[in-house]
Amino acid sequence: MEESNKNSKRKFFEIGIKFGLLATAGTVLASKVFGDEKSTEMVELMSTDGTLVHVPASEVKEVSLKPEGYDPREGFPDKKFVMVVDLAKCKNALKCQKACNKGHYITGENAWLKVYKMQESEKTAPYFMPTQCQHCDKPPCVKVCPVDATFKRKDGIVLIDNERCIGCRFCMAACPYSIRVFNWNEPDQGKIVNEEEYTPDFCGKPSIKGTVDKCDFCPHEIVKGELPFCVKACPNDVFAFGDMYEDAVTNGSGETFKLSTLLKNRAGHRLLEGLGTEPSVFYLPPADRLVEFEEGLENFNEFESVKKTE
Amino acid sequence: MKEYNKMIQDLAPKKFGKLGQIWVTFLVVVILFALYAYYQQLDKGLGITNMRDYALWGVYISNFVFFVAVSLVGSLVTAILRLSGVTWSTPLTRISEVIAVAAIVMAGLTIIIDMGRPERIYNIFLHGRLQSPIIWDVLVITTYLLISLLLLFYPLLPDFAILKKHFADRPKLSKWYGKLSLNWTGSKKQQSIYSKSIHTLSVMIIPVAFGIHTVTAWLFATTYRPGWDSSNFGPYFIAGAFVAGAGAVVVIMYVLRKVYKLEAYITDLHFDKMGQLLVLLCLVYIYFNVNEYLVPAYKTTNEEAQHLYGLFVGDYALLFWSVIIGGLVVPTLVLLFRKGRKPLPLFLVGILVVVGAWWKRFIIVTPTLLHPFLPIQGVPKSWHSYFPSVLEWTITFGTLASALLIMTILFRYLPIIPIHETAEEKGFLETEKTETL
Amino acid sequence: MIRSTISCCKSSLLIFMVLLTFLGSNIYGQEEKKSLSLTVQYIKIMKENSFLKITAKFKGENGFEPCGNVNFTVYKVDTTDVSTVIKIGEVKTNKEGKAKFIIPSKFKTPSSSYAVRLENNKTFDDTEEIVTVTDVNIIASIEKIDSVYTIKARLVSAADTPIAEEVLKAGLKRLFGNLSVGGEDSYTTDEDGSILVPIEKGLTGKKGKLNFQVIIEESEAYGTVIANINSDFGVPIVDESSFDERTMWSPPTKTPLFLLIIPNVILIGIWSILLLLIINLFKIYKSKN
Repeated sequence: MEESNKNSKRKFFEIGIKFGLLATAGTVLASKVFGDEKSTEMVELMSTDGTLVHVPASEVKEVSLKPEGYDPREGFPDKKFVMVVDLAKCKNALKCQKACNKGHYITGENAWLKVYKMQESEKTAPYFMPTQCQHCDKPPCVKVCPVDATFKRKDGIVLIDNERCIGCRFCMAACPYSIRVFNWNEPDQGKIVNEEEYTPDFCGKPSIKGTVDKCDFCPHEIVKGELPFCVKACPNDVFAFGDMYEDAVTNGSGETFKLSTLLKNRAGHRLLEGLGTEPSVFYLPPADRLVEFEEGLENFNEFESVKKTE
Repeated sequence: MKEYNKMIQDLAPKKFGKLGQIWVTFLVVVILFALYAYYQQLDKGLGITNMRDYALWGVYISNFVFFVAVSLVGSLVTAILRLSGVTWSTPLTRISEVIAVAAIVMAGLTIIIDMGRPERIYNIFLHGRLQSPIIWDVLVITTYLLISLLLLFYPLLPDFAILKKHFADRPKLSKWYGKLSLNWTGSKKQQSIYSKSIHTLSVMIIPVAFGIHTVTAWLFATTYRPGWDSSNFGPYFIAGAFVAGAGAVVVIMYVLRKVYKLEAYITDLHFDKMGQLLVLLCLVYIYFNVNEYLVPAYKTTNEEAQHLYGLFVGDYALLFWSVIIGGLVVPTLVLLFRKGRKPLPLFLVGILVVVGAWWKRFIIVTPTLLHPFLPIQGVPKSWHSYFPSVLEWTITFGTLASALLIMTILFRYLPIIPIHETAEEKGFLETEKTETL
Repeated sequence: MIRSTISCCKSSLLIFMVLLTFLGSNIYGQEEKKSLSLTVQYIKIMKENSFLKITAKFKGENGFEPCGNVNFTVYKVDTTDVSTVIKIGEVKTNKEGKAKFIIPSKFKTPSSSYAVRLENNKTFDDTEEIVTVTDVNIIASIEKIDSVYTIKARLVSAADTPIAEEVLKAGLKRLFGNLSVGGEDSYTTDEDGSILVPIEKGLTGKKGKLNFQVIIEESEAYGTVIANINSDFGVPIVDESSFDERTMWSPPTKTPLFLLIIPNVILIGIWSILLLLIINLFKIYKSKN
């Protein structure tokens, strides 16, 4: 009696295993036959030498501008980044500031991009002037840094290595444009998901207490082939950004202009030119304005800290 | 011989009396509060100060400049006067060297207090850039510290030898003095090395002293800011440094004279001479101030005008005029008269000068930062002005107390008046030699 | 009898209400699905491939937010019977809500309709976007006409018939967009389907390489078609940065020579003397007489 029980149990067991194996095998086979077409999908592409190749679709990625041996202290090769700010179009919408703050996890009072209400004298007209780091070609901030924490790259961008900065603030004293901010307290950035380790390429990710931050011209966007946050966010196409060697700048709507023509026709100038800092930001004078100055005053607040992001 | 022994008796270091103990306790208490405040700063960040993005340098930096300024007095009294063959300053050389050492040590510590990430200070040596004025400052200050220490130590050698004998009844103390005297016997060979070394040090310290304060001045002058962007800054700061240092010597020599009963050695003559020196230095400094303020006032470019307006009639007017008049003009006027150079008035004037010098540096550092090229907008109202916070003051007082503590301890164990040099000048040593013969 | 009926009714009513509440809460307990805004663009790159550029957004609290990591299914709509679709693949949006689906060549026909659908998604409603395109080709080349480099482009259908009166754009590929060449923003094809775009002198490019594009941009009938033409008669880009020079703003490895030499000479001089003076202290210590 017991033996027959055992036998029947064993049989049941055997059947169970056989069935399980069959089921598994069947599923595997079925998935291979009917499964993810995506994983086996091949794509016809033209390779760089003109021949047609078949590549798995999953391998096709967006081209990144980061070449082999990219060094954040040297930058993107054979480029010189410039920004053009059209003062005739700015109406103090402050979308640029919001986008920059959000993209760089900026908290507290420290917006890197400020929109000033400028009026040189009572006899001249007031206007709004967005100001971020000018990425000068003769940067007074880089000259005075004792520990090489802020540096000028080959592509013109001036960055800060927040892991080396000793917080002496000499660079802030040296900058005539007052664009540098200091993390006086522990930055309240919440949890930032950082897939890679810290790089000066992405200022603010994270911000470090006791060091200096500033506009970084968004190399983290450039590497994806995208424009900096402020350029993309402006609803009036105030900003245009590009490579001076290509003699082209592109605004937030995607329109590309010949830089030299633009500067010549619209009489582009730079801030505090007489100081000899050679900034990389060009301003187009507020002539023939798009919007009346008074419209922008609604958003203007002299003493309130910049509009914080949530 | 008798007079010589009496001199040694008078000038040998004595234990602290009640006053001394209270004084030291007071200083230690201040320092403890400051350490607590600094711990808060390390924990929470520089946000515990009232410095913000515009007033990015505040009392920590003006305090640092003050310390560097005072430290120049070592080169002035010990070196310049000695090399010019002046003899009345001999009793005052130790006082000025001690002040110089204490000041330069505190200058080094004070600048570290101002750093946002002090634990990364090694980066200065690992990644230092010779193009940066801060690196120049680090190099010259270190050099000046070493020279000042040597210039303090060398003349102490014969004095330590004397004290070793004097404290024969206190073996431990005697042993220490003996060790520090480096087997000084006054032999011809030792004398020769000694005089050559001191002479070399005195010559070297002068350019280095000029160096430290010029480089410190260049921390400001190498920027574009109106109020700092002046080719006058190097000499201006040095002239101010001599004034501050001389004032400090005057104050401290009065206090030490009273406390240690040194009336026989620091006489009215010394006060009179120091007073004359101080008034001369004040006149020179007034000249530099006239250059610094009146020339831009003539031109009144927009930025300079904003700066001068703030100083002359605006937010800083009270402070500015108190410092100029109380810290410079009044002292000068008082000291031009012989009666004004008597010990007590000179002491009071010295206090005015030192306090005025401290606030003058505040006037140099902060107002400029509060009128940058681009308008201050879009930041909280409190960022448009600056006055140090309680914790900031606590730390600052802590550094001042530390400087005074270093001086107090050095004055406790070192003979305040150089025994050997004074004896030499008074001819005691000649007499002693003849007597032993 | 009536009492029992009433009590029966009562209990069934009770049960019914309980069930209703339970079911109802089940229905309302489920979150309302959000509606998705889907845009699909057909882009054909000559001599390469054609793909669908998919962008998915939804209206969140702070404006439009991207729909990241959402799976879409792509179907080809049968040419004869609009209701029949063949699944040709799947694609997932990245965290910015964008996806690129490369259309396998075997599915291309002279006239094609593609449907991109979101189905059975927990967060979003089912959505569908259909894009219909007629296959066209741009044949482009660069020739020198009257010693001026000119782009010659011809727009033809899949059957090689010219398409006239169509607006083409000719641009030089720059980092973030295309710079219009030839002085005009756009060019209209003539009856032969051709355009001629003169290229101005002085255009710069890496090693002199210039990448031009002739584009039909977001046409109703043809989608976006891009023809790439490369050339190398541009002005080579010369790097003018001061990065490799010794300047006052260089890293310590490139300190200006006078700063490297003079301060160090002075310091070494002073410190050697100081070292000697310290040695002198030892000399004093050593000498006894």
